Amino acid sequence: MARLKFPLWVWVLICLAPLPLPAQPGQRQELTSAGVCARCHVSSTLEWGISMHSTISEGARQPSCTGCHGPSAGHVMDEENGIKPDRIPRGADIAALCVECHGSGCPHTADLQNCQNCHHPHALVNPQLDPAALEEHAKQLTAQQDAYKSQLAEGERLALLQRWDAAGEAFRAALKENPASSRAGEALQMCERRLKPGIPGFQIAGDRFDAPSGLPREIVLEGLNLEMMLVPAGSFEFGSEQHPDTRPVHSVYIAPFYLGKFEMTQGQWTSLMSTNPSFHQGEKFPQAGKLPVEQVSWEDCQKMLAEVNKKSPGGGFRLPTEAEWEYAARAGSTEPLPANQLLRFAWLRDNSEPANPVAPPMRSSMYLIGSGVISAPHPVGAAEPNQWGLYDMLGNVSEWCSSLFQPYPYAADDGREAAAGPGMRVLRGANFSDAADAADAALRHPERPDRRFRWNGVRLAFTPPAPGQRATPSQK
Amino acid sequence: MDLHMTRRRFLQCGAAGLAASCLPGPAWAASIVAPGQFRRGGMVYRPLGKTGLNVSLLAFGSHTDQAYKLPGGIRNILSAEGQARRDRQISKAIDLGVNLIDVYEHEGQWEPLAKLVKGKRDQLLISGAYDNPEFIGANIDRLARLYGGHIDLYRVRSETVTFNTSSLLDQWDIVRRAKEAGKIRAIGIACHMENTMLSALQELDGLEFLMLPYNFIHAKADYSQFLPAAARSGLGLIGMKPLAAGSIVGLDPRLNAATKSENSRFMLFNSTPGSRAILPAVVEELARSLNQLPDESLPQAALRYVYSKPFLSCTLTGMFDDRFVEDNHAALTRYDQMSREEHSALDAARRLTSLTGAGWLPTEYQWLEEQWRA
Repeated sequence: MARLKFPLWVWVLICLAPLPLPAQPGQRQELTSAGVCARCHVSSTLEWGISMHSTISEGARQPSCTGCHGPSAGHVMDEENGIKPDRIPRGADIAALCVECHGSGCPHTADLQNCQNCHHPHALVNPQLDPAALEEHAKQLTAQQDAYKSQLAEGERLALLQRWDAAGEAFRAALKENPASSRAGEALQMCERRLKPGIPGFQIAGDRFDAPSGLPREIVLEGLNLEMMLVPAGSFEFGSEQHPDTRPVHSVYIAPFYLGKFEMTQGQWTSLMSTNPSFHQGEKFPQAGKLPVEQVSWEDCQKMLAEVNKKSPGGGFRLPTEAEWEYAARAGSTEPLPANQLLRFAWLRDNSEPANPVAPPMRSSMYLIGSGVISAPHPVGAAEPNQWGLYDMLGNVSEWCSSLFQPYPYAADDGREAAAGPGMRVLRGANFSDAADAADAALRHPERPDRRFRWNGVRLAFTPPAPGQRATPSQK
Repeated sequence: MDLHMTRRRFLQCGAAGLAASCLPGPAWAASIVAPGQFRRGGMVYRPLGKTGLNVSLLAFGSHTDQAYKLPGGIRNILSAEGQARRDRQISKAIDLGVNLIDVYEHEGQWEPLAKLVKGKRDQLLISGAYDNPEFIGANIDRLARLYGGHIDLYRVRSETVTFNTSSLLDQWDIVRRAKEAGKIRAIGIACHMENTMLSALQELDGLEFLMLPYNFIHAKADYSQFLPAAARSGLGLIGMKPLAAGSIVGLDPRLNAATKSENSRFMLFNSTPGSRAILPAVVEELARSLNQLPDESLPQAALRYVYSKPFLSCTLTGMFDDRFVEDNHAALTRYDQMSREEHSALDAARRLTSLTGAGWLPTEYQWLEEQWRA
């Protein structure tokens, strides 16, 4: 872009101009939905605003600016426009993005490669149609949309009556009208799951099911006696403005997944790996089998995951991403726990003196801190669970996540969830040696993947398979 | 004059003008030697690496005067008189522009200093360290509570050759977590061996500053591998023991007998029974050199040597006397390059100490001679 040259007084006026005002009530919805992009790209945003894309609000699949152009963090921060957006698709590249959702191609021509020839990339309307044809096309679309909505509503009514077969048929019919509808697709999956609720290798504990996904709320891995809780799908405000590494706060969508009800114990680790790397074991810790495994590195966890995936039918075990971990730790809450309640839920330095305390070596000049005893982890599940039935999320041991430590905003597909590659990995959650103020669900701790500390442990995550499929480690 | 300019040019000119208006006068422009250095009042400030903190070149060390400590007990506490003296010296140093005060747990000064600096906490940087590594987390919490929610600088310390031991890495992990939680602004390490320093650069993620011994006799770091590596990583460096734990004070025969150094038990100029034999020729050379510095003491020249090193952000020195505070500050006010006479005096002192072995240092600091003699 050419550099702008203005007289000095123009720049002074620009500097003195007030900052942009926050969004006002009544502001056009597309400008709000487009977020920071709308500050400069007003006309493109308005074009997008008249498309069906701007009306879709189904979790992470909304086709918004970042959906096609990528997060483009560098471009957003560079006011001189020296850094371009991550992607500027042109020609056939546009069609490649279209078919990500519209997999069966154009409903009229079944074309998969030339969407851009008829559809405006933002507004979607075909500028080449004459007004009469445009009106006819709009009528067709409206009829199709009405049929879709009607089938969807019928399916949802039947689902409420737990008539899974009939509801599934209605959702299939809705999908026929609108093949790109993730809402109908997910509802159909839910019906199929309710008809065949089992997950290979797991027992279902209890009779509670998640209404949107149809997945059982609690499952137990046979053989390892590993209890897992379903973390329901949803969006949440990820991060915190309190700490430099947790800014900016941004919205992240999480698909449903299972997370260990407890941190992995020394007993479970030993039965999988035949060794126990933990520091807290031996005579002084008679309950070691129930204590969380610790002194494990991220790389050790990968070896353990390979082992557990080998032993369980279909695999699907992994570490949680840091976004999944924070979402599960918050359990739907937006506010941190008050300090006076925190110790009911988390083993921290203030409540983690071991049953058989070991006094540290004294020095003549030492200040005694509290009782002067070194803290230690507790058996898993000894404190109260959070709202989603997960124990020890904020204390006992810190937990490895799959993610590479990279700045926010978070995007699972920007390389930070790569299974290999250089860089530090993220640990989440406070531990028995931390003060209460470290028990903040948003705090991130980067660590080298080969480092082991006596306060770092692990909690397994599991990706539920699609109905009728076995889990695979790569599914997400 | 062309009044048409690009936005970048306008911002550059504006920033430069703003910075220029904040400087006391053009006379200081020639004095700037370290990148980002500036002078306010009689004090010079330098950036501490990439921490965003500006530290005064002269900082107040943590050691307290042995002569005023209460006998017995497990705490290392000053008598009421000793505490009053120390409080007065710190207040004087703050008035002279010192903004970094070190408080080592062992010296029992956390509470007294917190009380003293109440009301001016935001103008000061407090640096701390622990005494017992088993309680490092609780130690940081207590310091943070005492000093308004955070401590500015916190360090672990190492006596080992390399940092790759689980205990030290454990401590570092706790310190990093405390920084992430907002309880520390900058984290570092104090160490006394070059291998440890190189190791720290490799092993300690997030290392922001390092404290190393540095004076005109023990200046091995001048030609080590460490300094270039530290510069590449943007590490802030703090010089410790600029007066060799006070022993350099004892090399200057002209200092008032009442002026007592931290460790003045070995005086080269007192032929007391049991002390090392004086070497007259070398002593005479030192005395002659010092006579060329009529208004400057050897410790002041020694400090100016340290101040003149642009790679050091500041130097921590123990000050047990009001006069030391004034003298150490006065050495900053003459900010020209060091003179030939000063270099001659330092060379003579260096020769004298090399001929006496490590004996001119107290036993507990003789490792300085073994590890750091340049």
